[in-house]
Amino acid sequence: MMNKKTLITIMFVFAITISWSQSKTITNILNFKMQNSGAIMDNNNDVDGYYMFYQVDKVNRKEREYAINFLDQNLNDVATKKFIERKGTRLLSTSFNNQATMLAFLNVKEKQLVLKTFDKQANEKDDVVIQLDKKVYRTINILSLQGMLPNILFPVDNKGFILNYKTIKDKKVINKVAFYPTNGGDYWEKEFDFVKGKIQTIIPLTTKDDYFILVESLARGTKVNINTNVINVNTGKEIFVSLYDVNEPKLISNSFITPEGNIAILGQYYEANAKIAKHESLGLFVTTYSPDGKVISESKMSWAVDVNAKLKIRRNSKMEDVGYIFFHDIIRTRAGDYYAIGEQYKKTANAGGIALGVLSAALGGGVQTTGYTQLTIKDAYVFKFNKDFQLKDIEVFEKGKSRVPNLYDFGSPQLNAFQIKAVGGFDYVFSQIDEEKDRFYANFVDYERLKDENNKFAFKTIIHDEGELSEDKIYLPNRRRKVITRPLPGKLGHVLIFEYNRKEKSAYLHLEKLNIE
Amino acid sequence: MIKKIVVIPILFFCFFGYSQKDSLSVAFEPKNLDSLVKVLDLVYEGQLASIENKNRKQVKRIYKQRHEDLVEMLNDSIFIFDHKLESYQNSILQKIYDANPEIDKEDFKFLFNRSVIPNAACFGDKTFMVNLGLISLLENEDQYAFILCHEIAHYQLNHVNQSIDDRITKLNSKQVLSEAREIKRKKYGRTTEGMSFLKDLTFDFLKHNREVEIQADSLGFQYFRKTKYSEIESQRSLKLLGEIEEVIFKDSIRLSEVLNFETYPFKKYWLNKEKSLFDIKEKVDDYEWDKDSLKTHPDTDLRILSLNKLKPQESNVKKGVFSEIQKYTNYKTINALIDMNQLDFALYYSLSKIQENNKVTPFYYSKVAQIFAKMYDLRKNHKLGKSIPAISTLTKEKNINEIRQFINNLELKNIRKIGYAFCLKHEEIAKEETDFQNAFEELKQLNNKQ
Repeated sequence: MMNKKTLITIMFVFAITISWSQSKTITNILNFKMQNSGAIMDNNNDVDGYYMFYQVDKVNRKEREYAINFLDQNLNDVATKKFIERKGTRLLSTSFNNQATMLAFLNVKEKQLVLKTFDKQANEKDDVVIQLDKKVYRTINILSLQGMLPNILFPVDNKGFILNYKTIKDKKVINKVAFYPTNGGDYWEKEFDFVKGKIQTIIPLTTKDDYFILVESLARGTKVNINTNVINVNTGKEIFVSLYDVNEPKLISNSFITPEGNIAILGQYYEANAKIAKHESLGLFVTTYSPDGKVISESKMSWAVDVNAKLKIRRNSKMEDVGYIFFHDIIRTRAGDYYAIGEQYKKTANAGGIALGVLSAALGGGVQTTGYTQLTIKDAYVFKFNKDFQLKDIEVFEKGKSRVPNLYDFGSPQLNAFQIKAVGGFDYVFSQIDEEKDRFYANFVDYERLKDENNKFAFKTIIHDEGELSEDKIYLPNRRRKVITRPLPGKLGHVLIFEYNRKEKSAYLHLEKLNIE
Repeated sequence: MIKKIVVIPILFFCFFGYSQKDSLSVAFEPKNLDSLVKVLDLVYEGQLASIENKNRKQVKRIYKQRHEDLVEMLNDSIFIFDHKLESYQNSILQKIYDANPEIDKEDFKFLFNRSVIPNAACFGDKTFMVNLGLISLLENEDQYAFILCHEIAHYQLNHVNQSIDDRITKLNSKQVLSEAREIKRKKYGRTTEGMSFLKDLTFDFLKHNREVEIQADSLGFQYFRKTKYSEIESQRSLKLLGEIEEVIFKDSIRLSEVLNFETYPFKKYWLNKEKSLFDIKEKVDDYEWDKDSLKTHPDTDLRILSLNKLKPQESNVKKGVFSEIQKYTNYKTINALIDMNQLDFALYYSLSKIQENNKVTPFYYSKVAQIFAKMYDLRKNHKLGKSIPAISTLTKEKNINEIRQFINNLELKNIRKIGYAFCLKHEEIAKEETDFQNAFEELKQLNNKQ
């Protein structure tokens, strides 16, 4: 719990400049620039701290002095470390594994990935430098400049970090994951074979105990195959692979290690030969594997039978009066129950888009290909399953309607939802899991339309505690006011409220605890 | 961080008397605010007219900022206005003035800052400030009188305005300007050289600060010596202030005892500490400046040694109303803290009194009940984080940090249950207190609702 009032760019050592503000000549002699800032998170989306990355000085034609300023989870300034790197170095990703903090930088001039590690005493360890191929570098550079580079660093608690990147092998771009130990263990790497004609994406799901679980997605158009790999995180050796079965397509969204040490994989299942990025799913599933890859159990929950008993199903996953539900996360509690967190959506006509299309046509303009349709996103749905994956309850948490124009008007509502999800169009932000207290927080940003009152933006969280779900919300001031407010990721069970005063150009940050009555 | 931003600019115009440190119903505004501001305006204008520095514009800008800051503090409820405290302080001041007729006391304004941090300050514009925390720290009136003498000495020696003048002159000197220009012209290593240059200037200015503190001690002692107070108490007051340089909040609150109830037992995990990114005891900073050179005040031992040369005589300290005033100030301080939502400090002081002596007045019990009722309200409305400072793994103030950690660890339901259990347990002691009755009722309703 904290508050900080400070000038936004001056959280670093340069409070000094303020003391010299009486003299312009003096103030201008310093020439530092803030490059970027963000949260440092762990496996459970728990914020362990924040960083601010600065360019401090020009050392020579080629090199620059940089500084990274670490704040703890309560925003206390705990360390400022300086280092020299090539001009144009960019910070891509940060991670914390309870033993160390790792930062991934892109050295633009040398086309290198530079991994910097700071131990628990804030001492800098030896850098890891990875030479990138031109093609790979170009992709990383463009995506990072567009702010679309996915996270490439994953913490393995008390063991090390996994870097997920692309490299070149036999002149082909392939995917690779590499493990950098922080516990004295051994380095390992795993390369994924090139698959002609398909876009291969590696998505790490879980790193826990001795396991590293990832999915390999192979896409061609809307046809996507998803394989699941379970790797021994200590050695890099593959434990088992669960290959995509066209007769039983599955979209895997989550995994975890059960208290018995088994591996559970969760997601949605489809009818045989379905295209999972296009077709409607038949329901949700959970498959449990033994540590050597044998299927111990598989449970399914179907829309048609199980959900229909609680909500009226029109066809497949489309529910009467509800539309569809997009599941963002599936969380398992200590009691063995599962909670699937989703949002209700419908594909609707976009009145503005249609009007624009008519106007465009009347004016003799080109063909408008997008904007006629939109996704109308409404309430949050939480499905509760027991340990055998039998649907026990569905709880609906009311939210205001959000309308997001579809990126493409063609395709199924599911495909549109996937596209909207990819660009962060849903109200869902992220979930945090508090393993110690057996709680989770599913966070949303909501726009409430209120009777006899101005509409309000709210940060809304659904909290699971002691087997019950409750809701808490924080209203955020209207965006037109002189103070702009944004909810940002905070430490477990908290939200960081960022208030920016446009007039005073000052920022005010305070952590607020999310309430359980 | 707040400290850096707030303290450094103040260095330009204010001498913190004695290192650093933060109020029954409390008035945060004087009855005559307009006329008070008018007097401050007049003093300000008079001071503008007396600027002799070649760089008049720059000096004027600092005076203007100082004046605006003071008026803003008056409007921001930083000061408290209390007849009893003012009368008491005026009686001490009168003794000082009577013994030292050469003091130019016209338009002097002494304000009480609600801060619990023991400190006093001279602003250089005939305005002085005494933090309520200072009264709580000191042991007798004699010590308090010495500190007032020290602050008056700062004014008489024109330390604040002279410091502004000296700094502006220095910053506009040919040598400084040409060095700054040279650094600015550098293509490479500009910030590194710039920081080194600023460091030298800062150290030089702060060294001067430390020198004038010794001067204020010396002249302040001359004023003090002419009164009938015990001379030796001057050194004792410095010693007390020196002791809080390391840690201010010295009492460890036994939360698991004072907040343990049969109806709602204390839970160990309410005291769980947070882990941090780094296992370090102090901030790691590659740009760190020498801490000793950044001190605004000389070491206490050095100050005591300097006063020793003036051979302070020991005499009996007369028993007066100081302890009564101190008790009154504690009440005022806790009420002001609750009014301003500073519930961490309010809980610390109230529980510290309760654990120190079970026979303390019902006031402190009443306040604890009020604190939990207010804490519930602020937490419920997500406003508690705005009013309670951050938990820190690096702070030397472990005791107040533990209170903050405890508050942070509590869930909403814990707050209402602890508050209610506390009221049930201490109802007999505090039932006559209106604040207790109101808080008890509120907490009872909250618990019955669930």
